[in-house]
Amino acid sequence: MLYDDPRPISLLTGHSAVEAISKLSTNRLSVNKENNVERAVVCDGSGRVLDAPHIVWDESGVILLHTTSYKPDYLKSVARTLSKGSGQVMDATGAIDRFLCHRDQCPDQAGLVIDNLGVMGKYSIVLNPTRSEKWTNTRLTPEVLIEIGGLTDDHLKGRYLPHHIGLADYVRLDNGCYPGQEIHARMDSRNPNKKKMIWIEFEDPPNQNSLIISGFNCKFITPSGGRIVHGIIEDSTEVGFHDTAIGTVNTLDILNAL
Amino acid sequence: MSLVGGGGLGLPMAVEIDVVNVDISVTKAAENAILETMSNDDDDQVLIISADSGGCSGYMYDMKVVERPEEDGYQEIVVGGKSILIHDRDSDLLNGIELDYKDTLMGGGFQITNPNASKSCGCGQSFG
Repeated sequence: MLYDDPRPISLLTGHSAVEAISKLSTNRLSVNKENNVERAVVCDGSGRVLDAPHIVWDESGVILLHTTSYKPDYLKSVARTLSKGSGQVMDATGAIDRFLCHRDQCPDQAGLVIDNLGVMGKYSIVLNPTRSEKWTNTRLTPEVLIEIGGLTDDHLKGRYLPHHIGLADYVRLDNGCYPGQEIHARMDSRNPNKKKMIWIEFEDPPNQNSLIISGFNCKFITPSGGRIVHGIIEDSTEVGFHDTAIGTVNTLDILNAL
Repeated sequence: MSLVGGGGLGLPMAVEIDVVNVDISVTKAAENAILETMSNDDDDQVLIISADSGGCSGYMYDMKVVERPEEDGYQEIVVGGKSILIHDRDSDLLNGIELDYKDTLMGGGFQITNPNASKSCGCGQSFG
């Protein structure tokens, strides 16, 4: 099964494209022909995540696989910076086929695969796969994204710190100033992150916004319309089956949310 | 190999900028620092002040001494015989700035006070 990912894709052109996105990201980016995939995390001034695009080097420029369902606003300032040279920000959504799939069910031959993402790191992003009749594809919805461990607009829009939605590894304080850097630096020195995002499966859809799991309060961060939600909990919580006040729940780690 | 096929690519994102005639003020301390910094440079060397996306507050100042760019699109301000260039595309962000120089061990160097900034970061190198 391939999930056809409709989220927007941008192409940045010009010699300063990598630098332009790197100056907004929580980590220093150095994508090039040899190191052709990295991930950026762009935050607001409060250090909360606006977008976490995978960055793909391409002969035609730098490709941003946005996690938002819309074109993020920060692209305007990037476009402004690039326009002083010969660079541009272009919409590449219609120019690249972007799919998500379970790693055991991905096409054999693909243009580009980014592995070890999502629930238990078992999902992949596939760009421009070789088409085969044996693969069925269905359009990716927010519900499917939650099921496979992806980021939805509920995770983004400046609601959560990167540390809380599985993106802590991308917060590096060697990139100089970026929006939110002061908050992240303060956390690093005074209040280290002790939380993580988990995937929770219920027997029936819950009608509450939090739940005590293994002695810790787990706050749900996705709407609880279905049997699966994402929640934030103490990072010492072991995943697996837990007995709770509303029945047994199954929890899994989300590694590198899609 | 390119992942971007021949078709389907959208138009470039439009960047609407009001190009204004840039007027900046430079304090005597900053003028002296510019003259000292560029004293050994050839006449074709210029100081470019720009605002790029990034920094703690959304835009980050950049200052660099480079060979005079060949392309058009820059506005020139002459201070003490040295040229300061500001790109038209930064003109609305940098118009009205005051360039100062502080000779202190901590946080010293060129300082920019920008009337267009609604916020700025602690180190003074970025604004929004």
